[in-house]
Amino acid sequence: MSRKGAIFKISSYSLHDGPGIRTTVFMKGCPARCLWCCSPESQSFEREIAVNTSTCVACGRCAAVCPKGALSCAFGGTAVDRSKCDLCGNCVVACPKDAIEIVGTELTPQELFDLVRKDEPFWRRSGGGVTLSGGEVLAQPDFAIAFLDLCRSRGIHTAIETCLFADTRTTAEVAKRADFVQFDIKAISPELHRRLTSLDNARILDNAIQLLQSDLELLVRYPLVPGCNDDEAELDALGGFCSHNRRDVSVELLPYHSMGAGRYAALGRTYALPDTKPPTAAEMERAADILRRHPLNVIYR
Amino acid sequence: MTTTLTERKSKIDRIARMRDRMISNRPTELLPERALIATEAYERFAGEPAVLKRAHTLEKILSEMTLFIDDEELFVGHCSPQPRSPIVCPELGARWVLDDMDRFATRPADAIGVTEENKRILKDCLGKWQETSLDAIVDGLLSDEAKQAIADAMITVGGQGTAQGNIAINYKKLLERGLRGIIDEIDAKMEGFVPRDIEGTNKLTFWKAAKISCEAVIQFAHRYADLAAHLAETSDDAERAEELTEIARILRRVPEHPATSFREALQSVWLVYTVLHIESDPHAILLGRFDQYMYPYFKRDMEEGNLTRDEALTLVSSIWIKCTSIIKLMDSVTTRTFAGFPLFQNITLGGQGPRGEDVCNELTNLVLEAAVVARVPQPSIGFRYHNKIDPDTLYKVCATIKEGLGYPAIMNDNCIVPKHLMRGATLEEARNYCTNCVETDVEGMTDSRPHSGYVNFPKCFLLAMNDGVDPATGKQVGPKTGRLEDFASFDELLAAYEKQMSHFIGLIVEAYDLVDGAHAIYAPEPFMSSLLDDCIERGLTRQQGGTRYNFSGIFGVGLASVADAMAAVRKLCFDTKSVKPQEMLNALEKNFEGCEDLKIACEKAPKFGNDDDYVDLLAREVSHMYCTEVLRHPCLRGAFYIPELHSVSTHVYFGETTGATPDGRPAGVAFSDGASPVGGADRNGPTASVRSMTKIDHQEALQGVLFNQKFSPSALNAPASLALLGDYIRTWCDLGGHHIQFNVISTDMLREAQQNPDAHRDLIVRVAGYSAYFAELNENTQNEIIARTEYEEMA
Repeated sequence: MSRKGAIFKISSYSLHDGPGIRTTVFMKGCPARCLWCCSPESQSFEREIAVNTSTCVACGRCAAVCPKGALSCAFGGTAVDRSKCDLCGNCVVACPKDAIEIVGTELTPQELFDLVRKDEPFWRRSGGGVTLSGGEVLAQPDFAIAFLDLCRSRGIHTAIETCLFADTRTTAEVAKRADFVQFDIKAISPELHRRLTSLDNARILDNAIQLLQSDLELLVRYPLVPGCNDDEAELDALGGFCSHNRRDVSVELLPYHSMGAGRYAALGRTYALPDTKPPTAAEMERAADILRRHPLNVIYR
Repeated sequence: MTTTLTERKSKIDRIARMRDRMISNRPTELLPERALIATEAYERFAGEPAVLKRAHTLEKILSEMTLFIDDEELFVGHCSPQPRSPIVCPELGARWVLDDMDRFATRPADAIGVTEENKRILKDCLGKWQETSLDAIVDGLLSDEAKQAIADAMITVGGQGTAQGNIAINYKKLLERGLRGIIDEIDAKMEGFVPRDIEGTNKLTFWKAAKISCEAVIQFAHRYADLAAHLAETSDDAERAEELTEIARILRRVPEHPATSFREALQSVWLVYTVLHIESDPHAILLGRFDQYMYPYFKRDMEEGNLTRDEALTLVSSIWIKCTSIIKLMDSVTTRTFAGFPLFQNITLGGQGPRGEDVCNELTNLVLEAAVVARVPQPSIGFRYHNKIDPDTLYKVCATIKEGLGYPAIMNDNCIVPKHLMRGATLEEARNYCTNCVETDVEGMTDSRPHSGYVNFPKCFLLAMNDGVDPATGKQVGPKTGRLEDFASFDELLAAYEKQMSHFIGLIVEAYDLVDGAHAIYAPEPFMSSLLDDCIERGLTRQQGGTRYNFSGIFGVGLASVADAMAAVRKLCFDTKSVKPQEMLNALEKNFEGCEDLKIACEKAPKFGNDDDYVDLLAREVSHMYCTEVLRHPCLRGAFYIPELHSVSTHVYFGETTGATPDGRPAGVAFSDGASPVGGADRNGPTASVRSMTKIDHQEALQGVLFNQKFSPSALNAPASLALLGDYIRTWCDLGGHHIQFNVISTDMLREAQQNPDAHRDLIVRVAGYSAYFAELNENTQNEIIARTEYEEMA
């Protein structure tokens, strides 16, 4: 029970991650490296320092209090030497603009439960609950199982959001503790999937088949990224795959967005899709029409 | 009866034309007519006691004032010879109007045109009132100490040169009995009555005055009927002529007699509503539980086929538009913070009936729809939530909130009904409360004077740290209660704060009681009083305490600001001792200049609104301290003073006039609004801010607690998001909140946040599966969100 989980964010009043008003817990650490990932701080399992470039005013206060000399301010921004930084957090206290953040915290299942449970009155009223998202929830299965068990023991509705990159036993153990499972498919073609996410999709599709053929309540999500996975063959293959394994299953198309682009700079990284634009309404409709060739409940906003 | 779509569209177009005619195309202009007639009346009736003099003045105004009926109007009744033209009541305020005369036309907010000729006329007229208007009299009454506290922006004192509203008459009685029925009631009281003491003489005088006023209003309606009939004869538009003939018929019936149809009921209420403004021009004459007192007339007309739903929608919408035709003259300082000609007209929808049953009905829904059709800023709607609320109506309320009009505000019966029991009402009366804006009153029988005074919480804390001396000016403003370095513990500092705050509450009470008494002697309202229970029965005007429930209310301003300031001092000077008391006081004195590191430490101290007990429990403590102190004071007209945690926009004025505070706020910046967190300080989402807000005990703030919650349109666009907003409201009410209103974020607000990110750090924008603080996004992403919001606004 005391095994700690790595978490990078908790978001209350989530309306998009399952039924009702939900509290979404974002786990830290993910095996995938999707080109469009909107929360790069969710990828590493380790805590890390982030400097928000749009709010940093390069005042130099952080550099002045850094005991390791890991920070330097010049040219209107703050640079971090990540090899020197030991995440002491002095800079966070000193920053006048709250531009610096140590991303990631470690909590036991009980600690996390006590924290999120303050939202319980909202869950009870709305038929909501807790969603474990990521990062990747299946990458921390023992923690997830213990936490979900705690929620269920108090009659709290649980949901997970996963990319399904795990062995089938782990997937089944975690999924059966969720009242609602949302999983992503990013591409059906193995080669394309590897190129977009760095992962092989064989076990993902195996897990997807396992879940689609179960009686769990499901939502399949497909991030529609123009120029990456929006060609007809891919979409048609997705439609065939899903409907073959569960007729009329709900498939939600998630339009690509660039909201996370600024976070790459904060972590000293480069965004892979700087020129990609969100799909237009017509492009969304076209993709939905391709999926609708199959017996599916296609949704998008 | 059904109407075609074309007919429906033509009705909606008519409403749009009425709105344009009323708002967009009409400049406001100050006209002297009412002031001149009142001046003549006061000269002619100089020897009469005030209540008779006021009745005769009203009679003279109503029989002489210029009447007009606007094109396409369905209801008649204006306060002035043209719409959106404020009236002048020289008997209540002469000095300040004279002082402001040359500023009205040029002031930055709510400019009011006035011709040179009218300016001259008004100056001549008001000049005669310099020593005798209510504001002159009050000026002679207030103590120097109170005046000094007002000048130091520690307090404000209401009602000094104007009538005070925040009151709802007994509309149900008006409609059921008509003014003739009221006159009969007065006659019954007077018949065979022989005064045996001064009290009896006073009663008789009031009854006479009330009767004169009611008769005058009946004659006023007949004057309008004559005008309508005349216009009908001369109109070459047959359809309009028919409408005018019907208007004339209605005005010969109401408000004199009981209303027999929905339309008569609306006209009766509107004409009387107009006269209440003409009588003394207060702000916030409330329209009460509109969907209750109007419902019998609506229901009968609908059932008997005399009214279609679309016709009813047109009628209600046109009353809404007429509400914007009334403008109250306000002084130039007030208009800086109350821009947009607010009159605080409020109506109440929903709630419980006498047995605790839900009383939402078809009219409730229709009124919500009319608000969206009329799209005018007033009247604002307060919707009464309770546990048995009709879920469909709650859903429609949420849909109306999404329209971004800023209303309906939600009032929580679960919290508010017990307050009225604590205020002395019976259970049935308590369930019949109506809303002001945040305040609530038992309809038709309460005079609660919420604007008796405002107290500046954060400045009281500055004085508590500094022996009563304002650190920004070095001036002794409050009592000597010790300096920061003298206090061995934070609790001692808190005790000093309590002394400062109590001192200034005491000054408000002393000053307002004088104002209150002046209103009773110089400015009684015989007409309004005749429509309030139990004025006729007791033979007293409302100014003399004739209403069944009488209170004076005080606003506590800057609760979150003071809690944040206390948390910073507690943390830095007492817990960590990282800042010496003298350093803190020096920094405040210098407005943090040269003390940037200390300012940052102050900014980083815990802030109210994030579900952090360290600061939230200080807010609870201050709130409790404040409520206890206010409730200790009896008020002049009977009961006692009641506390409210709300600021209207005085938090801006108090902020402008207060130096730097230990929460890191520089001098001059606005304080927190109502009991809401400081703008930008609540950064843990809408459930955390609700938890902070409900740690305050809303129950003991008998007058009310305001909470302003911001939502982005995307949070209201998800599937089922309106139902979830309903669940959010239910949860807020479960947790004991008094009031909540929603500010749906507009593109204008996002652009402002882009320019000024520090003030909007709490602004959360949501996209599918991802949410972020707007201020932390890069510019392009922000632009993308602005574009998206624009799209959502159109959708």
